[in-house]
Amino acid sequence: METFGLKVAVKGGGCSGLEYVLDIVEGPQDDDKIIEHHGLELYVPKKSYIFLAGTELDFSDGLNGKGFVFTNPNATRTCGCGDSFSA
Amino acid sequence: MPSSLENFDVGYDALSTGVAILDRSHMGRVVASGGDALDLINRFSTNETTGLADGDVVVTVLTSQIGRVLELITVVRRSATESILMTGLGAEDTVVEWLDRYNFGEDCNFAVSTATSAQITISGPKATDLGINLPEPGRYVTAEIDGVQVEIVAISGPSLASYEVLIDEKSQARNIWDGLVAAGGVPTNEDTFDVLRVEQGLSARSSEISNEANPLEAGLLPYVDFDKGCYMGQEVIARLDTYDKLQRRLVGLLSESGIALSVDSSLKAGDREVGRITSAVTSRSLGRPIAMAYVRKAHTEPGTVLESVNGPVIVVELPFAAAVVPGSR
Repeated sequence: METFGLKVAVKGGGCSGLEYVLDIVEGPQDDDKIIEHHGLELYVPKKSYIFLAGTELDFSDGLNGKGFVFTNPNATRTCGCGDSFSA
Repeated sequence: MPSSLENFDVGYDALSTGVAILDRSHMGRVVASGGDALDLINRFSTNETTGLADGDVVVTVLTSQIGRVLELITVVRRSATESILMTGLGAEDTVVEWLDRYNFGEDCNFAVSTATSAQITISGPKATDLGINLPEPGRYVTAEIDGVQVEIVAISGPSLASYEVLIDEKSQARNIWDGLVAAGGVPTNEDTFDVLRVEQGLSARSSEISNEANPLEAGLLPYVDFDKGCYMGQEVIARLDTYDKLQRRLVGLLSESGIALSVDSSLKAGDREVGRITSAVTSRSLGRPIAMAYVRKAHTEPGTVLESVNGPVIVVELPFAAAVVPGSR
């Protein structure tokens, strides 16, 4: 049976230099850190993990917009739209 | 390559009315390879670098989170997977480190090629007299000089009418230099080039263009695309532009006393420091010392007299050639 998981990563971009990446992928890459949570596997690439350690990932369905919300203790600055951060 | 001369007047005349050549091999060059390289640069700089065609040349500014200039780079797209990045003197390692830092496994690689390649600038209104294939502004072409294939880059934007000859193999630079001299190119040097640059009010790396300035105050507005969307520092730069928040401006200065002006010296209005000189030369066309300086906006009205360490100076608009110069000869 195929193993799918949620890739949680960062990439360079946005007003503050780093953006979050979420993607459903087929299995982890070699250097991914694998985190199991509520039966779901999260794959975090090694270089991204440095910027994501301690991050809380939530899903908001409030009136002001639905979507994933990252609370990242490593973020020293976020841009106006909240999608980009620097660490 | 030889810098045999240097007779200032000969070089100046060639740059302003003929065709001059200048060894720029010391400037930084980086080979950017991989299908994602220009997309990554696009996310970290002020101008649009995606959607370019092969042979396109675009100047863009890498900026920090707070919208300051990290480096001005010229992107020369050879193909979908390879470009040359031209940087300022000694800036290539900084550029590579910066881009590598934000490369999270994308298909791109940045390799410094400064030491193994060479670069010659052709400048002056009669560059076509050299009889070589020259590109339109914003493009590059391949050409043959003395049997050696080179790339010739024409930058689109505010600069002296110049072409950059990129030579992959440094060992072939001497032949190409000799070929350009034989075709009528007059060897000149950076000091002479700098006099024309300042007369035309053009910003230079490590003078006006530094990490203490943002692209708008450094005269790099033509290289800022306000419609391209997010890049690092974009919010800050957009705010500066929208709300006219620039605190200081780049202006020209004329020495009233005729004493040469000093780079990096301060300018005062009364007891208050209101600016700093970034470039200073003795202008041949104006016959007196001139400078470029960052000055606080309230003191940039043309005709304002400020005090420098070398005596009083008069503020004028840039470029000097277009300014109404009080008492000019």
